[in-house]
Amino acid sequence: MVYKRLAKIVPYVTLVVVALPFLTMYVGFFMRAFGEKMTLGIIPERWSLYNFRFLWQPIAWGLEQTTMWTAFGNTVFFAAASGLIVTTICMLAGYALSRIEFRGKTFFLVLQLILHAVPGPILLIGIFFLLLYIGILHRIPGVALARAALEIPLGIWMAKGFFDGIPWDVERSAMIDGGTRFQVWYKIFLPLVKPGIAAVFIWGFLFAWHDFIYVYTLLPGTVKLMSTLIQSLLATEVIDYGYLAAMSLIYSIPPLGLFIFLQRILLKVPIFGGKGAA
Amino acid sequence: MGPSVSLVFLFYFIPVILTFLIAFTAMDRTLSWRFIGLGNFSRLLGIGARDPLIPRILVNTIVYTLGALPVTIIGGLLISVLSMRVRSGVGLFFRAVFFIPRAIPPVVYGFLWAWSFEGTRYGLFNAIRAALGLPVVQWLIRYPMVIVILANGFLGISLAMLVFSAAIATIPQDLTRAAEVDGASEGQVVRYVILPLLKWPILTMTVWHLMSFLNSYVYIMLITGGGPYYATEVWSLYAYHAAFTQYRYGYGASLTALLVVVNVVLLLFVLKAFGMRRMLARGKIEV
Amino acid sequence: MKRLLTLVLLILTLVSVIGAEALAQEIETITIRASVIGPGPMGIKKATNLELAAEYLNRFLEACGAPIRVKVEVEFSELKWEPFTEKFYLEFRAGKAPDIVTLRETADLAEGGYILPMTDHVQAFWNLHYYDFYPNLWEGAKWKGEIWGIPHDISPVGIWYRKDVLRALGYTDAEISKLLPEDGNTTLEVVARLAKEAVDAGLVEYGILHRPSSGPGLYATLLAFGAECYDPDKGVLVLNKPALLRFLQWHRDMVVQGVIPPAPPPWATIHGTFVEGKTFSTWASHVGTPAEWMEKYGLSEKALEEDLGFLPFQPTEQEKAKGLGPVSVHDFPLYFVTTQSKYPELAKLLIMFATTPEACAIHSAFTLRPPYRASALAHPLIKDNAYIQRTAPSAAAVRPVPIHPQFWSYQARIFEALKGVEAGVVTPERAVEDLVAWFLAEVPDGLVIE
Repeated sequence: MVYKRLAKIVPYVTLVVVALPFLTMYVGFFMRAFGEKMTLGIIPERWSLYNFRFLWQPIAWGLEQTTMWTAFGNTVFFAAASGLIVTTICMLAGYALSRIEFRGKTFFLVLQLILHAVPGPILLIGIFFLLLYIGILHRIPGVALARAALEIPLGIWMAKGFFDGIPWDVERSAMIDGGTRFQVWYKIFLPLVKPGIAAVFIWGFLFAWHDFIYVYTLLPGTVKLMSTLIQSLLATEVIDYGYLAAMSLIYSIPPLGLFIFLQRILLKVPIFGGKGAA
Repeated sequence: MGPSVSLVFLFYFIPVILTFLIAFTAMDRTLSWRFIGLGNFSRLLGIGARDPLIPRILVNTIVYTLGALPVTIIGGLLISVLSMRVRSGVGLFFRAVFFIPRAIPPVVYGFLWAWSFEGTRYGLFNAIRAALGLPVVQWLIRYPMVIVILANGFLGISLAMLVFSAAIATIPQDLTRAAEVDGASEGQVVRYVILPLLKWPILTMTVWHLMSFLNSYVYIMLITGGGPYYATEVWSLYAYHAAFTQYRYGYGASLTALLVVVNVVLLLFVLKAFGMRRMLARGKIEV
Repeated sequence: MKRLLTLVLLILTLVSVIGAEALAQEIETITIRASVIGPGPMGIKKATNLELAAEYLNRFLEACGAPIRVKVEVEFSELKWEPFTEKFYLEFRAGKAPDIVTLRETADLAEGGYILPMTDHVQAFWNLHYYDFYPNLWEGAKWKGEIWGIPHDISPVGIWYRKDVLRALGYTDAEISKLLPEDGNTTLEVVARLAKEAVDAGLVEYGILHRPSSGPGLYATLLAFGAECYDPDKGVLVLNKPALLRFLQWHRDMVVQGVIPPAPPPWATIHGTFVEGKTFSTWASHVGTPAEWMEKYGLSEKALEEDLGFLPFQPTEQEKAKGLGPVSVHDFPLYFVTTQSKYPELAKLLIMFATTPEACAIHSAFTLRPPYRASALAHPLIKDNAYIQRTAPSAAAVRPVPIHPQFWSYQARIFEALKGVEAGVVTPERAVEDLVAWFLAEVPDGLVIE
């Protein structure tokens, strides 16, 4: 009996122990977002929402004024576009790689990983010229495409894995029932790999959300994005950490929210029958 | 399939070719294409012979990569399995906590670690120590490699856990129920049912993070700057320092090219070890 | 018929009158694009000064009756130098470079054909406008005998110290002025000695804090030790072994004595502890930093006036005996005109109007940085600003950072050695040996002085 009780507590305790240092770090840092001015200690001297003023006040952008919400909206559009592109393509490709036999499959997969070996900034120059010649240099969709392309390789690998997890019987019965391959993919497989879709989408979204160097270099200065806003806070040697913490907090909420939302909706109950709440 | 191939080809392949071409030039900030043939590579090897730091950098890179990889993979497995065992709300909470490193801007994450382990009274952990009456510890001078490994390793957990838990969730319940009915304990279910089914995601994550750690330098740069005195300077960071503080893109591209080659070699090695060929032989239905 | 004719004539007259009017008033508006960087929000006046300049230029053109007006589109960026500079190079390659840009790497830009020489322009308007820019500044703007850009933003680095700490130690104001005179003629050892006293007395936590990263302050400190890094006549980098050894050894001694901490704290701690009086002296800031201290760290004007003192970097006693005076350094940006500009002469004129005493004073008043031209000091905007008047001489003494493509990576290498020595991870001798090895391998044309 005692053993059973212990066994039940162990996961909780482990999780808490492992997570505790990090929670301390996060809380310790983000507390300063709620302080009035910067202090040397962890606990702010005076609590206020002063650092969050960018939520309702206009912000300087170069010589103009803008609001945080414009930048926010642009970033959401950019990240969502990138995420969607990644998800669509990876889901298609993943299915193909999982189910369809064709030559050069191994090579293709390995190639994806090789591409990941080259770091982004070096590619930046090449991509700049590429976009220039195609003519979509200074537009958000073009950059979203470029950004998406960088994450697709891993996405394809991930997607294939998810499709692999579906037993073959499903396939067989679906094919027997008739319908094109695409229909099979769309109607039967996609719902079964929902957690995979969530994972891939978060993946693509996240990297576009955080991206700075690509959007800054490839888009004109008038396009307002949150990553640039955060970078501008770090430009000098006298950084306002309270303000930075506040803005980072707001900046982190969409990805985190998306993560939680997708996990709730698309993840099923724990698989150790009956141990978790539905 | 068609669109994905062309897209990837376009946006990834061509720039990569361009980069390889740049490696053969003496391109600097002026972005002029001055071909100098193998000039960069011979310099690179020349440096290897003369620069006393290279051996240490190699060691650092190996230690760092081999240290961070287990943290990410094992940590990712641990968190995903455990968090799916507990009540779903609690599990979600912990997964969210480990996802946070990816949700906050990268510079903030780096700064967070640098501040937490700051050597003064005002760094987070030292402040806690001071409040407890303990003396200040110079974490970044005494344990720089450990800190850097942990920082990057835990960042990797965010993705590993995401992928693993999604994979676990797609495992049909019948399989685990069947095992339990047969009398398997929790641990045995994990070991014999779940882990084998996670083989592909584990391979994916291992390979991807291996290359990530080999190529990443951003967080190391933010936390220790490669110090103290090159104690945490890894190959990719060294390449960055050499190329970007001198703005010699040609040289930087050649260092990168070498790194890419190393990446590929390791990649193929790992793939063989995991038996990837066998895993791929599963496409049973033909078009 | 007659009525119709009259009507037609009337219409024709009207049309021609209106047409003539329109023709007479046809004014061409020329757009000049400028790209200005802070970095950070402090530099905004550098951008608005260009807009101001356009206004003046237009008034001038109107008074001349010239059929041209200038419209300036300024893009102001608050980011750091690296992404901004990268973007400039890429846009230039794409043929979309602005007419005016603020950058620092004169040599690279000139060699690469990105910018136009301004020598003729400066000479043409020397007596009218450029005569009272501090002479040292032109050094940073010159390359191979030509002037390439116009200085417009100086922030000399120096030593900030807390007078209230000295008072608490028992020194009178008179004594303080003698030890650390306003004109900055003392020695490094004096500053170090006072720092040690303050630490030993337990009044401060840190005696001296320097930068946590490589920068102009590092170069200034090196110069204070006589470790010159560049030979301007030959245009090569220099490694002075004995001076470097002294430099590293001194820092190690300071760490052992508790004056400097074993690892340089990050920026927030440096600024925070100094403003709160927990640090005696910071070597990590420049003349303009108090503006940011006041805004972000809550420094009061009163404290700035009474408790804070500023000095250029001081030579060591050994160097002073050789005749070295106080040192200050800044890698200041310049207004450049790009070769892709369609109206370079207009752009140059615009720059001239953006560096008038008024524009200079506007920028100074906003950032608390000293004016870069002497006549601006008398401008009503800053005439009564005691702080600016007090710190103005530092601009005359400031030296530009050497223009050599490998200079900064050399500095970065030295800084790593410094950090290692302070942490006690490597001995000064070993660090110097490693530096020499790197220098010989990486800087083939460099000079090593034994």
